[in-house]
Amino acid sequence: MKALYSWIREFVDTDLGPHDTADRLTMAGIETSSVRYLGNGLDSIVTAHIRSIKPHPKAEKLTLCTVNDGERDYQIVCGAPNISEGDRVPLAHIGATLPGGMEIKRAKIRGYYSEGMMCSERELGISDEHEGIMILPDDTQPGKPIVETLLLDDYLMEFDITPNRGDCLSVCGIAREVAALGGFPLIKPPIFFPEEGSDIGREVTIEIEDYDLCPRYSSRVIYDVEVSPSPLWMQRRLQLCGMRPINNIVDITNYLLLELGQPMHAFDLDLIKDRRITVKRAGDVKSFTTLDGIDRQIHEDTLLIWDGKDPVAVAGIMGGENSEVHKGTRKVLFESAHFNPLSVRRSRNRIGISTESSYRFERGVDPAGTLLAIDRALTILSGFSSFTTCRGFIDEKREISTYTPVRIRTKNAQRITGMKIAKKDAIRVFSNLGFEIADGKRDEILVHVPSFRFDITREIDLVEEIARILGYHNVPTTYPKADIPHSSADHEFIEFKKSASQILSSLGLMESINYSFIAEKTFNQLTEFSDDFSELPVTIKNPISDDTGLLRPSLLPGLLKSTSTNIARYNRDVRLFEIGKIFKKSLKKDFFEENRLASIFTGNLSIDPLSGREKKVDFYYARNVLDKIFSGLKIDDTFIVAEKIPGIFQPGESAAIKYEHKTLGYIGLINAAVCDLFDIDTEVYCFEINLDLLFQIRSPERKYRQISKYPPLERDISFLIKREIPVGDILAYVKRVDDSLIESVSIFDVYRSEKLPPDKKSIGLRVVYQADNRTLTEQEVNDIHRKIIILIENRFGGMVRSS
Amino acid sequence: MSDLHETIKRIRQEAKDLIEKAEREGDLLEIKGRYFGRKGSLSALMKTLVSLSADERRKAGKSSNEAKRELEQLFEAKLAEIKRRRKERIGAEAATDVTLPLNLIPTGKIHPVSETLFHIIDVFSRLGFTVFSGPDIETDYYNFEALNIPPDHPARDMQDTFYIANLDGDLVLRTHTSPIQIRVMERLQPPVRVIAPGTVYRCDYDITHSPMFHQVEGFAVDRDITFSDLKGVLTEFCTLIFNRRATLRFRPSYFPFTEPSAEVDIECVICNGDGCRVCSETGWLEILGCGMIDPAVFEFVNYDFEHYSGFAFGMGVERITMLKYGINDIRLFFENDTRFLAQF
Repeated sequence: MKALYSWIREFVDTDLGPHDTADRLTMAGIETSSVRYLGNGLDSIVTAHIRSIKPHPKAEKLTLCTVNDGERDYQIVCGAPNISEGDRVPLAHIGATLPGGMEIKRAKIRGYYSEGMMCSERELGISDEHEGIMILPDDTQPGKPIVETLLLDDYLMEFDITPNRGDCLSVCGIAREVAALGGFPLIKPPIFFPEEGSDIGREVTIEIEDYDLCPRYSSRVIYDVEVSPSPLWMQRRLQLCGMRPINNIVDITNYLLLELGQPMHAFDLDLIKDRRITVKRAGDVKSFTTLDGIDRQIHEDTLLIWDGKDPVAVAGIMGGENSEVHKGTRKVLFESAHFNPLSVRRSRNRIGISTESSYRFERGVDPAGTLLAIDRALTILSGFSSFTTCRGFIDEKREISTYTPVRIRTKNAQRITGMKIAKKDAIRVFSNLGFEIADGKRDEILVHVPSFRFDITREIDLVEEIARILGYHNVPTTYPKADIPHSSADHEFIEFKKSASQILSSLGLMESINYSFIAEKTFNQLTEFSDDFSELPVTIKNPISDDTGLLRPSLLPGLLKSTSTNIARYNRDVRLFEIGKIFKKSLKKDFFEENRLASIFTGNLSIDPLSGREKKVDFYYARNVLDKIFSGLKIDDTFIVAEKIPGIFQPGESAAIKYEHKTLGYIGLINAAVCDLFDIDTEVYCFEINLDLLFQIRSPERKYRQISKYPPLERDISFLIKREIPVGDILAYVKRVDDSLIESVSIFDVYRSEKLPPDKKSIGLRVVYQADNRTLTEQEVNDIHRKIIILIENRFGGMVRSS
Repeated sequence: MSDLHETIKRIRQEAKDLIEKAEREGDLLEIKGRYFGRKGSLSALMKTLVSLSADERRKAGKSSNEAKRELEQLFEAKLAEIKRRRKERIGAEAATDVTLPLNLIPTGKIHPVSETLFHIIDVFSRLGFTVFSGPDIETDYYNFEALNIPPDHPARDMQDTFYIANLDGDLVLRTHTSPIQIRVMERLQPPVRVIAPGTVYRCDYDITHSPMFHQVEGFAVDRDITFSDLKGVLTEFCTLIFNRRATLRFRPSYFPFTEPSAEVDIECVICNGDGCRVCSETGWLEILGCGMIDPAVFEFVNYDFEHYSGFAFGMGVERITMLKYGINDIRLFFENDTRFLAQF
């Protein structure tokens, strides 16, 4: 919300300057986001008189103007079409720097000098209007500084008002805060206008049917009105505060909305059928044309203002086209009402427009202030317009309470704030805020909170007022007493995630974070490739773009997208991992979330500058990373099987990662068709595992096993075997030949070559024998070793080449 | 006898010559084994002396021992020389270019947002807070209602909410991590001291807003927890997280679930409060929101406001990370450009 410093000063007698006022307000919760001196950059701009306008001899769209600033003539080259001889305009002299930063220099335009520039409203920084030069009133004295002419020797203040402080959405509300902060006196606005017309009761009748949505409806009527533009000062204030001047009648309602925060509406009474106003719900009415000319759908519960036959306004939101004040309007009915905040909010949501009026009603408008606003409006209007005011007013209402009693104990204020609070200080805060102190025994104070402070109904609300007004900087800084922390599985899980991140990053992977969203299109494209995408997706009802339509059922699309982005930016070596949630729909309406860990690899892993050898990432690298995660996270007994792999992976170079009968995830080469979807034309390896499951099967508890003091014996066997036989199977079987004396079995060589039979590979196997309690004899080792050779030959059809 | 003597002499000379010519440690050891080791030719010779007279035996023994002693000495000297030469040679051959840039072990990194998140958790863990989590898909009740934001409350406008398409229409993507407050307080009785990190979502997308970002919620409930305690804890936190003595400013603000509420500004980490572009010339940076837990929230979880009080705070992890590293566009965090990630 915007307000002018000079306007605020009309309501509070303060010696604080605009910047100090802003700081004090901000530190009391009325955030002042900016203070701007309106005269900035306008020093060298004066009022000038256009003496003559001639066409520019060399440019069709330009004119040569002679203007006079009261001292001498200047030649100005101008392109604006809206000026005429005799107009008064703002003239920027050579050397001026406009508020927007433009510097005015002597310039030659198509062969003619221009000694300055005539300005539009936007160039002066007072509105967005830039269609033409700003035309000033005819009686403006040439030479008068524009700052004076346009009343710009002032400060525009902008406030971010929190939703609880609807009472501060007005000049008067801000002034009340300033008064409370400094103990300054408030100034009551003058109210005076003659009531010389006929009795209002003869002009109109008003009835409220739905009191629940409209507890009060006040009104006055004026006639013999001349609808005309408002004076410059009012137009300026409206404009600067963000409203468009229209005519004196509409402007005065807007002016009061800004000044007192009371939204008002003006009806052309001659257009009100039967001279009768009724306030009731829409019921059967289906649509209504608001004064912006738009036909709007109306919900049956929306509160409308009706004349004798039809709706004439949507209560608290916008008037109707059918009763709008226009040039020929002679008789005006001013409405100043109180509408239910919830009802206004719902209605404006349904209609889909938010107005200055609805914004205030939603946040609460003082029900006690309706009549004051009309009277203030007529007082100001009578200063520059002629009209006759009907005698009396109409004020339909239910019982309106002007205050709420709230009790506070200073003991509680101290208990919450940690601040020492004397009763007299609390009382001073309340009276400066304009609250009445009704009673107070011991540490208790009974406060009558005025009706404009909707936000204060409970003791805690008063505690906040005390802390806020005394200032948070006066609250001491202390520390809570120490306590034994709770234990929680969530905390352990965070530590687990952290370990995983540390392991992966130290292995040369970079952590990425992708959005939890996935585009519906991507999801559908992946349906045929993985179970993750064949179930019903979790759908966002109100996505902000195609990319935010669904929630991801897998981390892989995000990683593939990030990889693709990197490759497109010439980062061809990509090794990323992500730890995050995936989302799935289960049954009819339940959803579940699962933490997953996924990695993606492509390009070169390393280049050795000495040998010039590049190491590309491959399946084995990905597998090895996986092994390191498992060992680092203390996860035992996982294994890999090349079966039931989802289609997102390339068969033959992919596997399922298992623990007992459970599938933890998958690892492998991404299917080329899937890579195509992400514009990736290189080999990409991935794995994705269920981190929740991993967390469950971790076994951090370990028992130390005695390290043998006796020497180990190493034996190698090399053999030929069918290519498709997985080495992992051989290792498992070999170890089982003698679990106690075989310390380890490893592969030191896998060899495929044209020199070998086409379906064979050569395997080099190293067996280490060791006993815990003695040195093994050659004989013992030979016996076991022979069994291993038999196993390889008989079970796996191996052809032992040497052993 | 003289034969014997001659033999000893010959062995001695042969061994001497070989030791002299030896160039490698292995050669030396081999010579020693062959001539004067335990199984060497000198020892073998001595075993044949049994047939000789005592005097001859003594003489031969003496001469053999002399030979052995001399050879031992030569051996040690030569060994020392070989070792010395080897060291010299290694020094001379050290043609390793120690400045050669290598990429044998690839570089990995933790995402800057995760790093900040872990850091925040570490700091609060030290202050006695425990991590609790909650779901990203949250019910209207936990995300709004129990936090004192009833339906149609204007405060709902403060957060643009993503809704999940489900039958009851009561599910949202959580707009903040505050629902975890309710979930924990429903389960645990005071005293509680909790830190709740998580991903949150709002319908917003520009240079400073992302539809998904990370928040950390923290709260403590006990007897006699005060607003002044909140000031203390947050001052300590900022000092530890920004690694410098932090000057904080608490400004009154509004959140439906806290009262009194505050926005916390830290003295600008870029200009130290002098005013710069990052802080819009104010000298202050807004970093978190906080306040004393509203009694209405206590009612939802059956905590007794007469006996207990508590504070709560919430902060954006991306925001803090951006301030720490001078990052000016929040979208960089989610593009995962490796040149960006490698910087932290």
